[in-house]
Amino acid sequence: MDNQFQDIYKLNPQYADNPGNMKKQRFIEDEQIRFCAELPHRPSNISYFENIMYNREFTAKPKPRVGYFCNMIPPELIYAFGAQPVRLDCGNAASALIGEEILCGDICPLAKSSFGAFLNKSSLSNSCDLLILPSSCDAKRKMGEILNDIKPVFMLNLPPEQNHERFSNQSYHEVLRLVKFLKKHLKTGLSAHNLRKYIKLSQIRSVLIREIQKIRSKKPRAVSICDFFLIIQSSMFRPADLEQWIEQTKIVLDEMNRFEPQRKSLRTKLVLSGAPIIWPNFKILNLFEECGADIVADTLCTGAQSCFDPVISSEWTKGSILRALANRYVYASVCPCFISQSKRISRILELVEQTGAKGVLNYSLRLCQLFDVENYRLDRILKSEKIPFINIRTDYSLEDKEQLRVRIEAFLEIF
Amino acid sequence: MNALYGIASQYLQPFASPFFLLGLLISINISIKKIKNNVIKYVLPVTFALLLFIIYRICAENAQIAKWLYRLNNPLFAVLAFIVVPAVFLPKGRFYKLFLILPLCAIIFAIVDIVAHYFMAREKEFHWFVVHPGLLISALAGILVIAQTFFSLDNFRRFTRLSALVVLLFGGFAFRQNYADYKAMLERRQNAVKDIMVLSETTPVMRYDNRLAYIPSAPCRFAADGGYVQGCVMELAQRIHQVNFAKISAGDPSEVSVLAMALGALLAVTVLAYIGARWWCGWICPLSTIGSIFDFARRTMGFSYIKPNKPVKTGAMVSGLTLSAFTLNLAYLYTKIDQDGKFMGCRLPAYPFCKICPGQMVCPAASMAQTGYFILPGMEWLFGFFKISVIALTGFFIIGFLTARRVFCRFCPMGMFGGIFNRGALLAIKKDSRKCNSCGICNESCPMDITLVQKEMVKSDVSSFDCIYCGKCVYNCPQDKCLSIEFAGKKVMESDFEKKMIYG
Amino acid sequence: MITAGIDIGSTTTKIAILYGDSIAGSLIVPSGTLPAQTAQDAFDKCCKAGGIDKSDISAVAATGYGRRLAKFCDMVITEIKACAIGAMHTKSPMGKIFTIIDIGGQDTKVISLNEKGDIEDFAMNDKCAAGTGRFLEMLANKLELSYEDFIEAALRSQTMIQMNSTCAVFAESEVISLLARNIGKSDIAAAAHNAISDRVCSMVRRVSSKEVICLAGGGARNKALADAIEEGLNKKVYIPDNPQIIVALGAAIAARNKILTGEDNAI
Repeated sequence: MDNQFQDIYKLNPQYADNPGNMKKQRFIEDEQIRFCAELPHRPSNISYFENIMYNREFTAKPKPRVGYFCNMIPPELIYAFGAQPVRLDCGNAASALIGEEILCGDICPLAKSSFGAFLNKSSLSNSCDLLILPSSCDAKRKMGEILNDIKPVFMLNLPPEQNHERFSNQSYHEVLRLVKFLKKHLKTGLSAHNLRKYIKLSQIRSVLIREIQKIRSKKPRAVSICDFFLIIQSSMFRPADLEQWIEQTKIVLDEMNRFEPQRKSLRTKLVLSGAPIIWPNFKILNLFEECGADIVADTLCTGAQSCFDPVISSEWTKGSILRALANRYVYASVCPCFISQSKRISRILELVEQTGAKGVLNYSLRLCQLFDVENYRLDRILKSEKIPFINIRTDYSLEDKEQLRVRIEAFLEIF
Repeated sequence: MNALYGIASQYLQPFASPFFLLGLLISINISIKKIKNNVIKYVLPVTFALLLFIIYRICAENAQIAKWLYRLNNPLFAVLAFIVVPAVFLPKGRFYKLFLILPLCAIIFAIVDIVAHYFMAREKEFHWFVVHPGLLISALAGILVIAQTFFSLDNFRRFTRLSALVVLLFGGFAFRQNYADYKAMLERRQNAVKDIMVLSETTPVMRYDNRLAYIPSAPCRFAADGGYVQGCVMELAQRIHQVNFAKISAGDPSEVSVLAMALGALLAVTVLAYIGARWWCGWICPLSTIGSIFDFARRTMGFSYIKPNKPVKTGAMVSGLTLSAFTLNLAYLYTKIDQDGKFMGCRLPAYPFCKICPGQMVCPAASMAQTGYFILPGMEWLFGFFKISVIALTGFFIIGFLTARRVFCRFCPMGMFGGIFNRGALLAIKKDSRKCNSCGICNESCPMDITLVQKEMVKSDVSSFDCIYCGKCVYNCPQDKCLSIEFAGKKVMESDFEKKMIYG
Repeated sequence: MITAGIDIGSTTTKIAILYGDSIAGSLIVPSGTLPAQTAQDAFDKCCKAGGIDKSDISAVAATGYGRRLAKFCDMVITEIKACAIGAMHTKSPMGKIFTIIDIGGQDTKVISLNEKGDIEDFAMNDKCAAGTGRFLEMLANKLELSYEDFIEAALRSQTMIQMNSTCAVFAESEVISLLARNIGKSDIAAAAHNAISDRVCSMVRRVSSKEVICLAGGGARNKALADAIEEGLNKKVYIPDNPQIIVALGAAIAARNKILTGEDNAI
């Protein structure tokens, strides 16, 4: 197996020693914790998800930990190797400030923030043994080599076009290469039995998220959008036990089924689409919650969409399962890093119809060219379908809340 | 029992006509697509059916027309019209439970018939039970309709395929009308030259009056006790090639009746193809069921399948067509053989295609030689063409099913005949492209490796030539209501991932 | 019925009192450091000046950046919606208004309306001073002219000079270098107006430039700016009387509509 990066130019990692910034990071997290704590009607077992998400101690590792980015890496594969997958995309604005010192200031705040997490020796990112990155957007593609100086990195090459006929063999061979990489570093084998077990669990997770989203479109107050994202992200962004998580989420679903709103909700229902919203950067969700609108569905790779498409294998031979993993994680993705956005548009229109939402909110991160360029066609297509649409363009910083608020309020006044 | 069957078949003649079944389904199609009023939706097909009944009766007054109409009749059509069509189209409510009495009666009648025949027979031997073919088919349809309420779709398909396999491999024994017939067959087998190339063929007698009727199926003479159930479309094609048109113009009655039977059978298979397109490949064909057993072996051993790409698939289809065309030519040349049975020095058999079909080896093997001969043709037939071809094709059949999926089906001319009807027939695969997430699971599950279902993002009809309507793509699709199978306008199956996960 | 609208902006606070269908009183004061107090005082003053008893006023609506600070108001509405309502009310003689450009002290808004007069799309520039009234104020200061003289100087200019800086702060130093090259103050003033109008026009083009275009806000009183925008868009703009209180007027109308229809446009 060949090395993707040349070892002769490997550098020593430069960790940051910035206690002021660490304090700021914690402050941002505490602010979000406080906001969530004040939400009306939270599920009774929300403390389980909160404990996972708010935990700051990452050194205890019963299993080897494999960090990955984006939504194109199959975590079921990592589970089947007996390791714990953790998604390392970071949402802390202060962490972006550290990352900015080393990486350029003009790149995606998510990339800066995720990189900044690595400069902190005791962070979750640094507790991982291996890293897997897809070649999705420019920022992720270039971060690979920089992170390779810190931990062994595997870059999964994605096709530029989501054309199954043309590229499915290529994607399959990339997954095979990933299997070899994991085998070499984790020193265990891969069995179809384990793959099958974790795919079944992941299918159950997919059904649960779909059900919750369906109920939320009818009874938005049953669980608020912030808590919904908390539940979803606690299973991906922290080392979580999937079986326990499923049990707890089933309890949440039961409660939601039994929830009866006291009066009909007059709040506008919206569909959210766009760039990743990662805890603790729930700024947009908080604002919409405060301004009195309900986000009933989303196409975010860190929201419901991340768990929406299940992995389905036509048969349980290892080759077929690996093909199925490659297919779902590469070809079902709505990320704008591929050349066509038709899938995302279809998804948005479908969600608007299914949930009865009144408008669409597109959230784009400043300095992400992909979402910015996609906004143009999205705007025109939604206008031609007579669906009210607003594009909110911001970065991780918490300073422009009021400016966003006036835009959001003006948009909601249309209804 | 015989008398009852005779009376019933006489009065129910119009219902056994292909025109009745076709008319009924087309009127259902129209009423589902165009009519909104719920009452008229049901009344229209019923009135149309009655209308057809009356028209048939009127036409049957004329003796000449009556003869031709009678020739086209087949108890299979009556079974489809009365047991299968209501099972598909009636809403699953109280009426449905009421309707279930009909298949139940069919099963009871069949059992009564078997018992009656058994008691009436003088010699009681083990593998011999006699039942009217019409009753057997209606009982089988009845069992399937009742079973459909219990099984999930995958299991229902497996059950249907296994029952079809059993009936088509061993059913010939049941299609014998009486014990004398059975004894004659045993004698024929005993005395006949054990040469597969000169096996005597018969066509299934399905009617009370000893006239022949036709069940389209594949395989054929190599199942069901040496040739009772026949009807691969290639067999018909070979027969038509061997008709002596000079004799026809001279008005030779036996030749005319052969042509009439062949044309009637062709009409029957065309009607069935229009109704079900290539559905029999996925649900009935015993060759594919045997192949699926090999496929199961492959999966259990853990080997992944090989996905053929477009050039390979096209190559398979072309070679299949070429081989079939070649054997049809040989069938025509059979009419030109001299007294020694040779044409230009080569010995030719009567039905050349059947002698290279893998069914000739696979079906007797599957039925453990109960139903056919297990011998290879000799080398003297067309310079060994037949011996080599059948070994090659059978080997290819076995290896093919162990490495890829549905390999033989890409060559099968019977399948291709059905495939012609796939677009525009009453059966269609529909897709709502806006719900599609292009995950490609439909392409991965498809045994025929069809890419159209996954690629098509504009039109809603995604039926294609290769599709065998196994329903795996629809079953596996994770986006609810994205894919569906439509029969005569009604959605009989829809993708529903959540329901599948929650309810199993 | 008498209703009132208070537009608490970052630079100025505007009051408009609506009696029936016409403006009974209006006032513009600087917001200062205590906007809530300023709003209350200005409101009192405006009522007294118009001879209106506060108890006769059925409802008060607050808008602008400080809309939630005035606790004595009955409803709040965003300045975008208020601007749209206010502009629609002016009944332009040029035809139906489809685009509104509001150039404020510290922000600029472009609002596009549909056939029925509802907001179809909007864009705000509230992150950068270049393109707002503040920019012109700063440059007028740098040239040591009063704001009115600055505008007049721009109107007198005959040549077209391009200012290069994208940032308002750097534009200040660019003015010094232009003066050093002996370029006249009127030409610099004109260049400043062109710079603003370029930014405003590009924002307009992103949203909609369908006629009739209405200019509102404090920047609308600047004739040089209005001319520059007309030239930039190659369309005529309509400037209503008293453009700076359009937003407050819209708030007052919204308050009246709420009472009349029971409809709640507020958050």
